[in-house]
Amino acid sequence: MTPVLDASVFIAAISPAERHHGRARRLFDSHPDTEPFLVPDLFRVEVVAGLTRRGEPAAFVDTVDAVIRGPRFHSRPLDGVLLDRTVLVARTARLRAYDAVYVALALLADAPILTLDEEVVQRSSASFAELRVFGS
Amino acid sequence: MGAVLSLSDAKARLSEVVRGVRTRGEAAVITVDGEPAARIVPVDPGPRSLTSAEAAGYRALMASLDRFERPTAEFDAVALIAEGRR
Repeated sequence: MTPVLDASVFIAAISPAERHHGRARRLFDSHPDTEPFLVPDLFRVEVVAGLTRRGEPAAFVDTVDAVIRGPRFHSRPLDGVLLDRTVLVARTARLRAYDAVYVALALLADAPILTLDEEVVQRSSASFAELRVFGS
Repeated sequence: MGAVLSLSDAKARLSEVVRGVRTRGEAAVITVDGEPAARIVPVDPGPRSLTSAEAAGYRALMASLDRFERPTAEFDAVALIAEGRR
């Protein structure tokens, strides 16, 4: 089963200074490194933008970007099918738009989602009993 | 940039066009009266296990991340991402 990975987990997992680094690293490493994560297209933008805003060195951000563009991360475009499900998720769980994209992707793929965001855990678990959420 | 071809060309060379889209992973655009009218896109094969070479390359890149000098101030990744999602 290919889990959906939230951008916050990845950033925390590669950042020792992050408050939840240990938990994120355990989550990240719980999936064999020969198997891919499933992410929406916007994952790459979120990670690169977040690291850049934090003031990470450009060469570091370039390397992270190369990792994300590699085969470990299977990127799914926000096509009509994912968009429709995202709208449904946003309305049902009252999630923010980007949060809803990740949850919708997990529901469409029948995949677990790894996230550190407590609000996403609470709202998505309450609205979608079939969704497996890890990270809280 | 994928191939751009007329409808008559597409009809005559459909097998070649589809194989090209599949091999290169790039869409082909079909024109009608010189205007873009339709697109043939590759099907996403879905996630797959990494090959040994891919896994080795991935591990090398991940290991290289530890060699950078980075900001040491504590932060919260959820807050950082949430800020970008506002």
